Amino acid sequence: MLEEHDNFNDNTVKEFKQNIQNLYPKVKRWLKGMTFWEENINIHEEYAVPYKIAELYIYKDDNFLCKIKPVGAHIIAADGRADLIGKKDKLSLVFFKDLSQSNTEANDSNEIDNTGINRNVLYEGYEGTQWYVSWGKRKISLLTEEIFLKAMEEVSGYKHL
Amino acid sequence: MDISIFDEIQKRYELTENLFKLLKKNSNVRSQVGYESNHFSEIDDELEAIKDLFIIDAFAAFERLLRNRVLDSLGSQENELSVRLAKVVRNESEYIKIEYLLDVLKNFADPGRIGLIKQIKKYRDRVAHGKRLLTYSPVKPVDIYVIFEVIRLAAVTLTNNSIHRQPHVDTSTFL
Repeated sequence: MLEEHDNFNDNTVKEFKQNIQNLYPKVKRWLKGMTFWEENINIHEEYAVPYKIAELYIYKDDNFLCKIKPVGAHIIAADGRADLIGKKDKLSLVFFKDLSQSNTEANDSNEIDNTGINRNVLYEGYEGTQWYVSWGKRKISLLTEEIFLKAMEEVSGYKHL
Repeated sequence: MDISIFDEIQKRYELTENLFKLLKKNSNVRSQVGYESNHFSEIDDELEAIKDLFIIDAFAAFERLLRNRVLDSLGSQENELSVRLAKVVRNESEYIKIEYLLDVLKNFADPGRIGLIKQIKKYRDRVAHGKRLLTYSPVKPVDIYVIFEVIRLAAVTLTNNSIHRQPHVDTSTFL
């Protein structure tokens, strides 16, 4: 069986891992006074070699608030998904890359299918390449400090002042 | 079948989603319906499994629309040979790989949209063929409403390019 060190993963996975690595420092900067814990998990996707990636646990005064759990790089109509999971609820964080980098995926005939589509057709709130919170019903918000705190409050019930 | 079927499926899903929100919020509702777990994550998991059924439902409606459109594209049958040949094509049309039909649609719609339909089909296959617990998912959804919209847009392409049929002529006497 192939393993991650075989360096066989496609760019989609590499970019996803990089985007997760860029996300965590931002979140840590936004959440002053919190404690963080990272733990590696394995992600298995059919078109990728199983790979390790860190979940980010977020605590306040030793109480678990929520965690960011990476879900995968191969996502329908997006370019990466991580879930924000708390005791009360769960929301998805989605990453969209520049459409000009045209998403593609191999099909059964070993040809390439284009899976890129104008984001504004499918989502309300798209503003360009970045992480977003998906609220459901096709509504998304660019992930800023304010939006992250709102999402965290929704999943954990904790209001960060 | 017209494309209002997709609105109906979405409406049914929305009702289900709202019922799950109620179930999550209200412990009385949970005890009334005999749902014993109080772990919200389990309720979320139940809804995720139900979402998959709605994806199967929406994709099946789209596939029916697409295959009906293939039949509509058969020309009129003016003699017995044509009628018999058309009957063979009709019977076999159910077995045409849907990917071949979707590739044709790329000429009439944004190819990116058709690529997304193929992704949804891969996900549908994994769920519908009982491989959910056996294999890794080829792709994963984020928002089921986005999936509904992708399917609805592809269905609109079909109806925008539909054939206005002549009144039906009974050809059964040829057979």
